[in-house]
Amino acid sequence: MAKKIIGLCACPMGLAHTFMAAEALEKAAKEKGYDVKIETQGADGIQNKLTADDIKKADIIIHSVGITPEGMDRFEGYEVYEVELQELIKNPKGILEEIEEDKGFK
Amino acid sequence: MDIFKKDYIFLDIGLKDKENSIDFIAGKAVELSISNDKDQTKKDLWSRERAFNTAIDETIAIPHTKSESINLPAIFIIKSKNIIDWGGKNIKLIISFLTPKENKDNIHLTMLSKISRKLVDDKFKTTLNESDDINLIYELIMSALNS
Repeated sequence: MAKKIIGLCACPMGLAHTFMAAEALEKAAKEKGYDVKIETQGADGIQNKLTADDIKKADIIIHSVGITPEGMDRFEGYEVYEVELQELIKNPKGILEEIEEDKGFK
Repeated sequence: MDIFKKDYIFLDIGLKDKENSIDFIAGKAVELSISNDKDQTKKDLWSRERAFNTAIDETIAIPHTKSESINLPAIFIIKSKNIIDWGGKNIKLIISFLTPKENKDNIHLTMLSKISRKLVDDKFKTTLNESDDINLIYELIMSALNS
């Protein structure tokens, strides 16, 4: 079964970087064969909200946020990788590879 | 009410620098009744730039704001005749998002989010960078908005 990556992206204006980061991560994760679900908290509200079940079943959890997003308590007790928005947009594949190495997936 | 029109595409514009570009955006926004206050729009665009320079790669900048001065959401595509120094990046293409501060209109915000997602698509960016055909640019943005 494919491993599952979930992500949460949010930026101050919620217009651009939130979605660029979400798209970059989604593409890179799909290319690597992961199941992927990314929640965005942008100007259009919370989209694709991560459920308790998503979080429980995730093999990798990534937060890429420039503000304090809503619902952070959902992630309590889970290992979360914090990645800067700019970094995730620029180098999503490299970041995933670092996390995979850290997790011992490789 | 359209978030994007051919009127929002500005080609071959002689922009001197970042200052001049922000002024151009705010000026056009007033001309097109998107903004009700040029100075406020400028100020709010600059405040975003100061928080973090909006160059997203070597050639594209995305100055954007959620401002009280904005009446309705719009996307501007501006291609500069000259290279603009945008906080150290040599910019030739500006994609500007202007949105009202309070916005209950989620359809337009969802459309904006689709354009943002396209900004990590190299093919989309290359086509946009290389084209000076207003119809092609219009179709490219519209198809992204409606994807």
